[in-house]
Amino acid sequence: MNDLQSLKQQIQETGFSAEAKRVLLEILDKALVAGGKLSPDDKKKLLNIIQLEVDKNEAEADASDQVAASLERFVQDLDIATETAERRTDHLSKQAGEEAKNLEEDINSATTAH
Amino acid sequence: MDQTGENKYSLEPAKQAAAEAGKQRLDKLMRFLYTVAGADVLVTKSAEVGKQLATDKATELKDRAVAFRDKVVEKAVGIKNDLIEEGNRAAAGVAEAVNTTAHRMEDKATELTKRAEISGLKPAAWMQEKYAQAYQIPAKIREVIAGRYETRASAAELRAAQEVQDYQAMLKTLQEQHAVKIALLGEARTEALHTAGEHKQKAVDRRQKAAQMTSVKDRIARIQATL
Repeated sequence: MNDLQSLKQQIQETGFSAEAKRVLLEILDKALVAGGKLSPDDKKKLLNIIQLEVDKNEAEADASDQVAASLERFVQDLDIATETAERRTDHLSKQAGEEAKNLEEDINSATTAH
Repeated sequence: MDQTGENKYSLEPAKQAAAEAGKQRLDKLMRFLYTVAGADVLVTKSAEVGKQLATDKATELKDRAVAFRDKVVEKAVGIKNDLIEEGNRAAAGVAEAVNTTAHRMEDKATELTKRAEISGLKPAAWMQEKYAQAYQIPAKIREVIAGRYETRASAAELRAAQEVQDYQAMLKTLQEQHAVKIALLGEARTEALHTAGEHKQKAVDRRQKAAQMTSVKDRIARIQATL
């Protein structure tokens, strides 16, 4: 009897869905009314419901991990594209700076020569 | 968690730093075209030479200055276009992956709901989660995708400008268009990092719950059933 009472307490404190909790507690109350006797059918029902809840939570965890990984891959891909753009920008800056200097010198010397 | 409820081991500051670093790098790229637009100064300067000297040399210098400006700007525009296209491609990739996960989860939910009914649960009351909403593409990534079919900004239009003023006005418009798109990529990046963190936390919570439920199940398995 005490074992079933403390089991009820544990179920209440575990994060079961409201509907699963309702049915699990209903079955345990029935067993308590029967003097603490849990029938094999009810035991099977309890185990099935809990397994169902475990499967649901694990499926949600897997899906959340997959979504997180996809989003992190997006950030990674964007960072790689940014790095490439930075590298190309730096190269262009350097190249353009040298070319601009030469051109400016030629413009200045043409003006001075005149 | 400590007594104040604050998580000492939170990755939040590191995540914020990473988000900030990525944003700063994109901001730097956003400003770049303004710097190379300085090539215009040489075009103006060479045109002044042309006014003073009506010689072949002056014409050659002006042609060189225009060619230089066009080449630099064209390359800079190309760099930004490539960055935006890579961002669009990455956004389309994440959208496809998230949709696939949401569909797979909806299929799993259908299977679980059937099992729930067999186990004596009311399916509608038990399966309240809407997975299409729980696993959806973040808003900013959706915005990036929505704008991805816009025409690739072209430096060729700039080259066609006859006057320096026209050229500068067109360049300004182009820079503004690029700035909006690059800023959006930065926002999508920040949102993606934040949402990924939420999903990671959700995965940890769900696994903890599953472990607690398994311990309840193990306890029930040890109970001697009696008729």
